[in-house]
Amino acid sequence: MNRNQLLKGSVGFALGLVLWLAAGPAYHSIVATATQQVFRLAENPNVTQLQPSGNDVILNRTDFDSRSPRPQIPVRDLTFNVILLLTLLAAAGPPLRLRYGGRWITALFALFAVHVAALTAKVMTLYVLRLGAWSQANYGSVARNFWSGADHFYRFIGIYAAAFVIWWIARLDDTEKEPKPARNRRRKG
Amino acid sequence: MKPRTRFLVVFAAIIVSLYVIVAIRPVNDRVVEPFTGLIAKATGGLLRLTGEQVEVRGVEVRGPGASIAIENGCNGLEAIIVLAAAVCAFPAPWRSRLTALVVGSIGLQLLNLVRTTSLYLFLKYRPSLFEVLHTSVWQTILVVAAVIFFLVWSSRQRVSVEPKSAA
Repeated sequence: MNRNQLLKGSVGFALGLVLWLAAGPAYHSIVATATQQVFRLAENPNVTQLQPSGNDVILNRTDFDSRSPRPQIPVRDLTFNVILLLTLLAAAGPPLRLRYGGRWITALFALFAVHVAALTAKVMTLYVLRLGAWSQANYGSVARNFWSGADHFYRFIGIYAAAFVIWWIARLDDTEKEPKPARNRRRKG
Repeated sequence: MKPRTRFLVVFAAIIVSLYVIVAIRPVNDRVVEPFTGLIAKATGGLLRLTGEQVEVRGVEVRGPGASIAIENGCNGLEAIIVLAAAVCAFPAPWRSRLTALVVGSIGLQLLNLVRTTSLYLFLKYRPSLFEVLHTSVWQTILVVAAVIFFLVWSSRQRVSVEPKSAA
């Protein structure tokens, strides 16, 4: 880790923070839409509706009593590892060139998939634990432990581990690094 | 198995194992909670040095105008777990790994004290910045510090492992 990498990492951190703050609501809306599609694949009938609201997502099942309050999920808490990933990619990731564009896009798409999985786990945790008698009637102890465990794991350590693993896969290892261009040596005549 | 893949498999296995250990209730009650209480005490001590009148109760630091509770996720354990998993997964002598773990953990805890102290001060004097600093900025800085420490340490391991070229 040299001064140049530290500088690049700082730029990546600042860029990640600004992006996360400024584009958060739009990005969280996309994550909510994708997560709803995941529920569409698994549910019959399709009752889960995820309505984006700024940096939150409102969980609105169509079979909820119209008078009952709708749970609100702060999606920001699930997605801030984009700052960590951009910092690591900028400091010690593949160079920011067209040749390595695929690695950057794949890394960011992988993180998007992680965010969809994290929101899915969050919604399922609400279903299995937080809806009182309805949760008890519809889900068993295995489902309760699995989904609440997955959600807790992600929030405690998985959020960082996911960014680290994606960065580790995306970075170039020693065999892939480009050799420095050889300097033209002038022969003494 | 390729070294890169091996690193990832061991890294993931250690992360999950350490998470399970830390999440077990007896470990949480007898180790993590008292440890977090020590961080709260140290934070209170640092704040008193800066002239703040605070009192510490368990994991809570209270003072006029602000009160914070240091909980799991704020005690620096997550960064230490990432560092431990990366250091243990990297091929290096165990003595070097142990040294890196001890030195890195101490460094991360010192940085975490700066985090908890500054968060109290931000909550009291710049409350509008508290949320973003608490949920994202400081968390990221702590894990980035862990990764930088790992990168520096691992590059030195590589240098020491490489054979010396013949003179």
